[in-house]
Amino acid sequence: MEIDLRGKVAVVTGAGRGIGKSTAIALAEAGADVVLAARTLSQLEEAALQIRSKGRRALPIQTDVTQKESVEKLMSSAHDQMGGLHILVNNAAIMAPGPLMEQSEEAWDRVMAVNLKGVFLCTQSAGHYMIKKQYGKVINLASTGGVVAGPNNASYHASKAAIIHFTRSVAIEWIRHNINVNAIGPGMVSTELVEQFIQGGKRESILKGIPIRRFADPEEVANLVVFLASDLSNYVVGEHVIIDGGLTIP
Amino acid sequence: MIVRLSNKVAIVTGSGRGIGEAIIYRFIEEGAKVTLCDVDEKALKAVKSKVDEMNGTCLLAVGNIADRDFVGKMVDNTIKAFGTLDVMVNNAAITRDAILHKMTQAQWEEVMDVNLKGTFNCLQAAATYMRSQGKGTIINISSTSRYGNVGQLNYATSKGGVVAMTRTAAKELCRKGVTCNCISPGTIWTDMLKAVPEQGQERLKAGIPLGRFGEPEEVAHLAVFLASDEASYITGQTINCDGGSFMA
Repeated sequence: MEIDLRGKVAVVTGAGRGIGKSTAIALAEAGADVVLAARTLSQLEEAALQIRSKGRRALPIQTDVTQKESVEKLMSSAHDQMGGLHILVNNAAIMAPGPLMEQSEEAWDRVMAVNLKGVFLCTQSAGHYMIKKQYGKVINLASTGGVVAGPNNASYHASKAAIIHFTRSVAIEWIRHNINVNAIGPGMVSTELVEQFIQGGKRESILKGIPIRRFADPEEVANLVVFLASDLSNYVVGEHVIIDGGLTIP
Repeated sequence: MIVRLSNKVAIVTGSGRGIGEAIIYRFIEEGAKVTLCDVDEKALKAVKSKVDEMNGTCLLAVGNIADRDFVGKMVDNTIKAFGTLDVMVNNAAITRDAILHKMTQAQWEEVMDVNLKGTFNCLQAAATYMRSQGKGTIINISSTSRYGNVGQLNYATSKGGVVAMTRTAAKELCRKGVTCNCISPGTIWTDMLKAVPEQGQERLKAGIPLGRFGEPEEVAHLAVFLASDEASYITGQTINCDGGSFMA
């Protein structure tokens, strides 16, 4: 099947690298025009070049998802300059790994601000346009860490568990507006964020815990985002689809 | 994104009608060769003639998946005819609805025979071949009835069992290059649902946040995605396709 997103405008947060960048490019390959948001503009420009080389429009916007004005500017620019806002991928996230007893209040607040409040602000702000048009696809990047517990990352895990239930709650509220809200739970993906967590030569022991014996490529997660961003998944509502090579099969 | 099943060989059980039939047509559209399987020969022949119209390639297997010999032959014949088996869709299932205190032993056993033992037979036969090849994917069809559904103690139990089979098979097969996932459809507009009186249908619809029944094609789209190479990192998962009735 050809997933055809021509005529759709997608906003991807955290689009400068990792899953966000792969997702932005995959959405463009499927035909969407893409608004790229992140704190570091230079990384966005690089992704935008790749998207434009595929014949799609790209609009990089420096954004702090924890700031309401910044998020509202992102969404209004997307809508006004690109001519719509059909798909939102809430991907931006940070991690402050370490034992709980060593977690500072500032680190906790920062994780919650980016990972959770950022998703709230972006979803609400995009919802303003989506509800008006009675169409939308919201895909939240959660994590297997939001389902299965592990040591030394409590703030990240808590934020991701919250996103999974936020997804369900908004899904049930917005489906009457023809807006599908779903979440994706990646396991170990080859990204800088994961490298940050596994630094110190833990890679081999982590690989042993993944039945498929490899990390995911960001592109594999992006494939799932594209499917959930398309009308082929209209009957999938409020789901958290895990993509983890068998890491967390209950 | 182009999702294709070019040159893949698939078996879809219960493909005489409903969700299984829809999966067949979508698989054919994406370039797969398929084996149709159902107890209802007349229904299968009707599906085959549509597949022929689409210039698709298919093989017929008429029989009951509860019969191990039949399942073994179906898998063998498929591999003989098409050279391999890449995708096994375990969709065949029956209902024998009754409220708990009125459920007969026969109603319990008939459902378990097809939905659990039949699915096991197919899963095992397909997995045995796929692990020897070091590749393949299995898609089981459960149901949101697995969360509990009045009048379906037998069916709901069997569909919960299908999820457990999915997880266990995924764990066992992962290192052999074989993935196993499950789709859990909600209330889909099939013959099973059309048989429900109109009042009952309205009640069911009222419980779906999306406000409508699902089309068999919507389940089939998800099956195509899971059967494709694009879904290669997904295994052991059960995905509800239910308009938001249950969110997992």
